[in-house]
Amino acid sequence: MNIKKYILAVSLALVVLIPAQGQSPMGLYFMETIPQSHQINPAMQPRANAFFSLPSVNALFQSDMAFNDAFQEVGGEWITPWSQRFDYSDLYGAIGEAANINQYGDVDVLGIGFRSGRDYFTFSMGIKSVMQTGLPSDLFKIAELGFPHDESFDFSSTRLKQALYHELAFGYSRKWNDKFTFGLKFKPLFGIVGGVTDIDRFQLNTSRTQWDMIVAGTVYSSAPVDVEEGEPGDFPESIDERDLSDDETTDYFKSFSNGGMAFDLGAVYRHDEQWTFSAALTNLGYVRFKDDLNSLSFNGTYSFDGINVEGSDEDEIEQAFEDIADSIKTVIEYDVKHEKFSVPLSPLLYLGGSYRLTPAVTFGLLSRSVFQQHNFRQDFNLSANLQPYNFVALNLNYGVRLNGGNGVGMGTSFLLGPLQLYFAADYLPTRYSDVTFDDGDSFPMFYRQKDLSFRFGLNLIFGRHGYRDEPMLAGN
Amino acid sequence: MKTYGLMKMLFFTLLLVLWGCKDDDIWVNTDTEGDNRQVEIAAPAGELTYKISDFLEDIDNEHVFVDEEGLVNARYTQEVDIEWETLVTLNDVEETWYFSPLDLLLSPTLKVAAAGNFEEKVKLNTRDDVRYDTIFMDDGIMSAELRIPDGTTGTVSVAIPEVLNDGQPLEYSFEANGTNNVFIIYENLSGLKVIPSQAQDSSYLSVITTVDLENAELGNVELNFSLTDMTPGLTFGYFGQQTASKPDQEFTFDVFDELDVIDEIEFFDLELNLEVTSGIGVPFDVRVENMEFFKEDNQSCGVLTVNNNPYIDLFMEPAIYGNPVENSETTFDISRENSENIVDIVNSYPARMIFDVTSWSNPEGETGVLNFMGPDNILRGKMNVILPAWFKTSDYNRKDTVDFDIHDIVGDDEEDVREIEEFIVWLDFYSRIPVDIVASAWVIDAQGNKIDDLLESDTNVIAAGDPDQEEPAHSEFSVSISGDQINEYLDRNAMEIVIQTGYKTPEEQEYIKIYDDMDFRAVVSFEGLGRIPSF
Repeated sequence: MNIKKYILAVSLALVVLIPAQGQSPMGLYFMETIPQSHQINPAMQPRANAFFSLPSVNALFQSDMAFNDAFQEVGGEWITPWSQRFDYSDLYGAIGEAANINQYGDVDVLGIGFRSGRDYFTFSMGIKSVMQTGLPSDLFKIAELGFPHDESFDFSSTRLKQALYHELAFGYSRKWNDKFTFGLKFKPLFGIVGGVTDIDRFQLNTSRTQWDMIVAGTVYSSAPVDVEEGEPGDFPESIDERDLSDDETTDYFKSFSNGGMAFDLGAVYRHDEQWTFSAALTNLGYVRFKDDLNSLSFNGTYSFDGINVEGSDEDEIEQAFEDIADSIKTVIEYDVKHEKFSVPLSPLLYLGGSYRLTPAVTFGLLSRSVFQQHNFRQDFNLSANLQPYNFVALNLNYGVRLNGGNGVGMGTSFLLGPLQLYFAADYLPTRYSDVTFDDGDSFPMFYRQKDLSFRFGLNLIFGRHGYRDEPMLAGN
Repeated sequence: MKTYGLMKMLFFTLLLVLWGCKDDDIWVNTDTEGDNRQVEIAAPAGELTYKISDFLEDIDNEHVFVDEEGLVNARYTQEVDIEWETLVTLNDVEETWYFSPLDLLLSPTLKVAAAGNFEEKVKLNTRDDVRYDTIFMDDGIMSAELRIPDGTTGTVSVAIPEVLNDGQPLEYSFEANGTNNVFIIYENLSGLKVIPSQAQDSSYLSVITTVDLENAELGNVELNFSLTDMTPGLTFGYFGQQTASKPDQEFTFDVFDELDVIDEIEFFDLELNLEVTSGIGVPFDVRVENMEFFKEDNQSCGVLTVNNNPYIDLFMEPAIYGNPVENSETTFDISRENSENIVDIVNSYPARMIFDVTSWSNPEGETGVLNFMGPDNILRGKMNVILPAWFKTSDYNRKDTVDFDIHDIVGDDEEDVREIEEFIVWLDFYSRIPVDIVASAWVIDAQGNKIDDLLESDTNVIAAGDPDQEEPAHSEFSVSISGDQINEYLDRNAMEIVIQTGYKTPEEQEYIKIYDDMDFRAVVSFEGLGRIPSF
């Protein structure tokens, strides 16, 4: 496999299969034996004197709609949105302003961390991707109502944000005193490809006599795309993907241009031997795209009051239909530019508290808030952490996302000498059904599933027996 | 032991979890006929601006035209050609003359020598009151056979001095040597110029036979002379007082049949325009008379009178000779201004007209007038019947049908169409045409049986516009079709829509004119309510 195919495969995996952002499974938050917990809260100091992380994969999939939101069970029968018994208020309650589908993914290529007295230093390097799609709830109103007289559809919450970037993360944590530990992470970011929509207004007003479409916004992209501009104010003549040679593709993905940065902040407060409280604010930053830039702005109102025909000649009528498309292009002002743009990361706020029942058993409660436009998310997670032996750690948790999914999660790690294998997941699918459409073939479907998050990887742990004043449990 | 216990607990926990994972099967029925959601679509369909000029373009009727004022007219034209080739007619001639050379002996003692002329006249005009001064022949054959007695020697010639070939009179000379005694003359006169000699009542040619014989024998000189196919071209002279007629000229017009009117439209006027053009250098009197109109069923509508006469007279000045010839033209217009009954005739909706045309040449009989004719020998008459769109009506109705084969229209989408519960078409009309239009419409099957109304009776469709006002008159109405109606159209195989329209001109305007720039604008929108089709 040549380098181009390798890069494309990794990119595909990141963007499509396991798209990510840095939202690790919540169960990992309290698993101090896994060094990657510092990626959630930079104040967390892994319970190892040093570690070297081998490649790991983190993935998150979130949707406002599950199968049982899109298809509803009414009186023991499953119905489609086209059924008159379909309750759209339930659907709108589930999706809010927009039906968001978020995919995050990252691959940590390597990472190291070590303790120095009260300080803990970490470094990691990886490739990350984020894709957030927002479908406006009024889009579903079309299926509910059609295009009635005197109705307004607001599609302004339509959005698409996509970025693929390199991340370097330099972390520092200091145990300030017996109570407080603070952490900071500085993350230089280097965008590979990116695109974002900035829709100010996208509205459709329908009436019997006139339809108005009001649009204002900009679409930005930094990607191998060639845009041939048309006349000023007109839609571009063409938008084509650029054919890249193998070398050009390699250069593209190895590029460390399009710089950006992000910060993670964290703190841990150990109230007493049993209670510990922590907080982290992460992903405060952006990726700034500067290369291969294209932006398309559009602003205007198109009023459609029907086709205009003069006379009854068939050619006139055909011409009138052709003029519809012409009118859209001419009435709406387009502007092609090549401006730099930023793709902001979605900040996360973690608030956690844990109670140590015994040195081997800990209970934790975690709140995770994700801040993004039209897409605020709030998760709560209750977890139990068990470390029965010094070579194994277990986590069992239950997560709830407001207006979202809920379900159990788990985490586990095993030590085979210095080699640590870990796996953690949130919202594990626990219920499924065989789904059949009409007379088609059945297929299994996690019909309640809205969220899925998992992470797995390998670490080399040094000083795994714990540190001086808080040794790991000794095996029997 | 502790490890074993843990593993056992994990195993049973996993078994329990997996057992509880599987829920009941889900079967989603997308084919939910009767349960599909009701949705509504309201949208503008379009705006149609339709001018009278568009209508004229659509009907593409050769008889319809717009005059300088922009007024729409229907015009029917009948041409009547009076051929005046008889004005100049040349006689064909077949003559045989005998001459005796002995009468011309130079000396009674010199019996063998004879010299002298024999002259004969050939009359060209067929009428005594006709004089031909110059004739350029289009065609004609002159032939002669000159026979002299056997054994005669000497010179014999024949000359026609009135016929010129390149300015030279025709002359033919023969040498007789005693053994040849028959001489042939054959001349194609096409392109030759003839300047006839004149005598009382006669324009003639001279045929002069000259002999200069050395050995005249007993016997006659025989000359067989003929003129055939004499076709004159340009001819100058005086052509006399002659008459040519074209009786029973028929003129049909289907304008009223097309309008399908039965006493509902009252036209303001009808114009008859006569045009006569002449390229003949002769003055003419032309009379058009007995202009009788008939309905479709041959019932007479009356004979048109003009200034209380059942005829009209026109005088044609002679054309002026030149290169080219300057034609003369005369016209005569008949309308309600000079005809007592033309309005009555037009409002009886005639379908045809019969008339007679007669013309007389040189009506004053002044023989000193120089006439010419050729190459045009036709008096071209044209009668235009012009019906302006200038009328009033209070009750003009017509019924039209529109194809509406509903199964052909919906094709394979019949089930989807049946999901429509109501469909309303809204129409707003803005009219500058000064005619009120009411309409009703209904749907019929192939046998003509009414299925259901589409538009209730006498719906005000278009309000009459006022041409003097800038703003057009506005009217609006809607056509609502229920789902039950649609189902009935489908079940009963609707085939046509019958549209009955009634037209009325505003009472405050006596007569209205229709101009080609008048228009109406129709703004069409619709609302449809129905269930989403099953996929």
